[in-house]
Amino acid sequence: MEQLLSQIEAYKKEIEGFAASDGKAVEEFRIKWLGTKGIVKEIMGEMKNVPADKKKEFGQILNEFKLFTENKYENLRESTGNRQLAPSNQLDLSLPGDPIPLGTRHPITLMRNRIVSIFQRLGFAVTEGPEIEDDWHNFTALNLHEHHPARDMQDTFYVQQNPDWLLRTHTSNVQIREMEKGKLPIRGIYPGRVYRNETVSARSHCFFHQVEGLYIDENVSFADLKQTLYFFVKEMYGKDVKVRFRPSYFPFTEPSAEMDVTCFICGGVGCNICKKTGWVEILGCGMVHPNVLSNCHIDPNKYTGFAFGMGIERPAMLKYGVNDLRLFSENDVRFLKQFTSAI
Amino acid sequence: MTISYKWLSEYLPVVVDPERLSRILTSIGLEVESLSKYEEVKGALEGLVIGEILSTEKHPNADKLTLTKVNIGNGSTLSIVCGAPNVAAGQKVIVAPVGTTIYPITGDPLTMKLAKIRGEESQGMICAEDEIGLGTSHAGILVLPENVKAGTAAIEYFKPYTDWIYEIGLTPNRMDAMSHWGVARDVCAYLTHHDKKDIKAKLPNANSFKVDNTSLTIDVKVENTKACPRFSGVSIADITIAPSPKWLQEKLKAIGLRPINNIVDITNYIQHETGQPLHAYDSNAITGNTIVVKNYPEGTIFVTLDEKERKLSAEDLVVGNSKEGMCIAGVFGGLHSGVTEKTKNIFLEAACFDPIITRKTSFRHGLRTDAASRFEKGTDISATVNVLKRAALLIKEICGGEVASEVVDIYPAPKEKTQVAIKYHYLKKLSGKNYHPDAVKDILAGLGFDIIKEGIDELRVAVPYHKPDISLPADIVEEVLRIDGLDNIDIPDAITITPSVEENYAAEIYKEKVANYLVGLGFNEILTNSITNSAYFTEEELVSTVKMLNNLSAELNVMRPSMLETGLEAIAHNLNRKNNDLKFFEFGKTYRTDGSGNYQETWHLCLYLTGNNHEDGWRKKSSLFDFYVLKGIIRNTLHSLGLPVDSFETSDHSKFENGLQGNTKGDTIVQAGIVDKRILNRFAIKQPVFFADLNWELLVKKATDHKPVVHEIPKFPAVHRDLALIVPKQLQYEEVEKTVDKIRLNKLRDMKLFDIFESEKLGADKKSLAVSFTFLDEEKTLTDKEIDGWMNKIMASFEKDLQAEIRK
Repeated sequence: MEQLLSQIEAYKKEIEGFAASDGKAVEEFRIKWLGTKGIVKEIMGEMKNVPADKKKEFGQILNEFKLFTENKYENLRESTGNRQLAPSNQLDLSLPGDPIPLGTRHPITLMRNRIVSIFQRLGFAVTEGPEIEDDWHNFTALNLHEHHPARDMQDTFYVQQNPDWLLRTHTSNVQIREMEKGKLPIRGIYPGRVYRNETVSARSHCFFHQVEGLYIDENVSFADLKQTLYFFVKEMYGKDVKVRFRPSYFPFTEPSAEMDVTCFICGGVGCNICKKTGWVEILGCGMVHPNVLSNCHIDPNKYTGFAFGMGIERPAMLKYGVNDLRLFSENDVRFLKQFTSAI
Repeated sequence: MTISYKWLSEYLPVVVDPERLSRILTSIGLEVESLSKYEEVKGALEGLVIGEILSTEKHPNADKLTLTKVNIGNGSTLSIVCGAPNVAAGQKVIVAPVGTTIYPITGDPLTMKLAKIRGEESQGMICAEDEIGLGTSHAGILVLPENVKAGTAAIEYFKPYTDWIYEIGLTPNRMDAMSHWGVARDVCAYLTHHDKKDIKAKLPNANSFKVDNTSLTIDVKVENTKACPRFSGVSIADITIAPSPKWLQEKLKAIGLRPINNIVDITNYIQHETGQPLHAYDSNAITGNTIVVKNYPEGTIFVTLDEKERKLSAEDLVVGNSKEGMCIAGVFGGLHSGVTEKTKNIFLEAACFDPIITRKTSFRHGLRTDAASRFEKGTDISATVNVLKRAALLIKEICGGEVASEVVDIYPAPKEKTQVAIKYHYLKKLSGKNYHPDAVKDILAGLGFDIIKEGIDELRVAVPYHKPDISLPADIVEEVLRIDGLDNIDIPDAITITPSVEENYAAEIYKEKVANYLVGLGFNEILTNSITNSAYFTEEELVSTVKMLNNLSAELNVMRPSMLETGLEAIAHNLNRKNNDLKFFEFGKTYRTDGSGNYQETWHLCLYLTGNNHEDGWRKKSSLFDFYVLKGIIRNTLHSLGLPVDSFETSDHSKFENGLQGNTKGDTIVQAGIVDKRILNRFAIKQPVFFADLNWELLVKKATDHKPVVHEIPKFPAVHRDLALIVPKQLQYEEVEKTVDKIRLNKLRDMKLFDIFESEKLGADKKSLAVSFTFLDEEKTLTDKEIDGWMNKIMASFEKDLQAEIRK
């Protein structure tokens, strides 16, 4: 026992006096003292020869010795720093990281979500209506009678005649469906896919996407409409953008207006995007036509409301600099992958 | 619609500059889509001056050049080198001094610079007519009459016609503004309201109209007064057909119309001035001196001005003589009744035709003429006689001749003006702005409304005939807002809303959650056309498929009954462009019908995998997608919705070579498989495609019912045991799981397959499966004895049920 203790003392002195100049010497130290066949392990093995009543006391001494050796090793490693490793063992951190794949959302989804989220902040609830629609919800209830010239503006795909069923030409059908539910007030935002019988080209497509908004309550005014849309524009295009409302015409609103913002490409000076006018048309809007309210059994003397609608493709094209509508539906990955960082 | 600034300005009593006018037009609802300059002569001779050649002298170094001194007025004389053979002292010529830009008939504009020509300085150029856009001759310099004063600006001498042209995006409700008069009326209402002056449009009157004789009286009968509520006309005799005077030609050219002859030009001019379409008949064509406005029998042949034979519908209204048709009413003239160079006498028609009937006829014959588009929007029924008189005066002035009949006017049921009562508080309620009653009255009066009655809160007005679309108080509100300006409605400081409860929120959130997961895995979201090709589908599928009646093309003729095919189109598009490794997802709808007016739309989430799983890396080489990659993604997708699949079974999906369907609580929520090669062949896809179709609507419904609750973290450690078993090669792994399930070990928390191994040593019909088991008891630490007991049960079952050999 005594012999073992003095042996440990001797080892300690040897360790204390040891100095290493490079990693190689440190490694040699580790193998000699802390390796699997090293001295520490060997000494620890002596525990089994210690009488039971001394085990606790001896255990402490041995542990202390082990810790002492380990500390010395750590100090040696720190003092020799990076020199400890032979160049062949060094990590080349300049090697490329693993090729972890990164996907993308579709730009139309990104734009749709952006628009919808702004209105959600203002308490509009999201609903998506049907795309295959009857004449009543797509046209007649919206104050577009059979021979209305405005039907010219929307070349329609029909899927059934007498009674007529068609592919909705706008998301305005959801207005009617929501109003018909008879639960007032209504404050909703209705994104979705719409169809027009138009030849597929860089500028037109047979399907595209719109977002419709509707607010009906007692005493909703055009001033409220302006306020909501101002908020939308500032969120969407920044605080500095200027807004212009000009009278327009939609059969389902009266008064009707279109909203322009200063061209965000040229800043309002005039460029090809804004046809040199300095303004870009963003959406159509207006006060829900009294006939439309009546068609949905809402009393136009008690309730008023506003509605607005906008395309998703066009703002997406402007935002991301896309110049061909077909890119959105071709789904070429070389196009899609460019939206990795887009929001 | 095209509006000329100069033409419009003739009717405005005040000068408004073109830019301001542009802003005014847009603000009152006549959107200026473009404002451009019209120049009869390009560059409009800007900067050119008339000079007198004082002297000429031969150029010392060039035979064909002449040195000249030219007086250009104001005491300045220029030295100009001239190459024209006809140059001579004393001539009056056009000079382009240094700094002037000239616009030749052909070639690019040129700006004059101080030049040295063969050593002699030239301070400008003496111009030929083609060099400044005045003509095509390059025979020599243009020599003007001697009496022209040197120093006169060329613009003043030639007075080339220039104008500003507004392209207006006219909305279908604004028939009142389809003319220069109509636009002038709107602009004046604006100016009166905003400039606080009483500004009325100066419209030419027809007071000097008189009937010269009645030698050419035409009898007019209108048989269908519904289709033609008013028909007016007048004869003019002894006219001379000739080209129109320059002023008229220029006006028409400026708005994009080609001058034809004086009569045609005048009818076009009056139409654009007043909005009323006119039609001129050669009186010789009016057989029987009688005009009959009626419908002809179905199928009657009528030859129109474009020399096409057309079969009339019984609903088409025709203006005819006593024998036959002369003109499809309000749409297009006939070949034999129009004005020609030989015409001497004419009958001029100004009528009002029913909008819907005109529109139907116009579409039926594919004749979308200017007149038809005016009638179908509704014309001013009160205007016909005045417009006729105005036209007759202009014809007499330009074409000569005499008014040779009384004005015929068939108007059996004169229309009463519509009356509308508008309450001021309604105006306030709808607009959000307080308008002063005087301002409201002024605006309406300016637009031609008659104030019938004024109450404390109510104003009763009669709607002018040029605004047939106005019938409701809301329409009046629009008129007031439009003239006052929508930008003049103040925005409230505080937002007042009645928020809606989002009933649909879970669907939106789940969609985002799953989409974000897939994007994280490297999927690209696609959006494919829901209109697709019927050739992709079987007869059986097409029974319930929604078909388009008026399809765009044979390739786009049905609404997709399945999402697979449009996704394969996207894959084929990419494979054709060497984008071989694809990982797509789409949220989209499929469409069905039961054939009796019921339509069903269903949301799907579809996954498409083909090619390599990822790029080659320096540590890890890429590997091909296979079904198990897809299955793992499906499992995680469903886990993220709280919907683990209860059971998978072999899919009966006809489009799979091999596939599974996953069920949750009795419903099939996913179909996944390897797409059948025959289908891939249709898209010329030569590599395997793995496809999963998740019933998104059902998933969202089930997910919404799922309420995740946190369990306490286990205090005691889990214990793992591995087991290798040799089983028949054809044994489905599912059987192994089922065998364990049957024992019902409630402390068994997880079971994982971590290796499959086959070798000669095992035997050709055998395979070895390595499975790890995880046991956990939440109440205590498990003992070896307990675990050994369970493992023995498992091993015994394997041996008994699966004839497995346990490897020890």
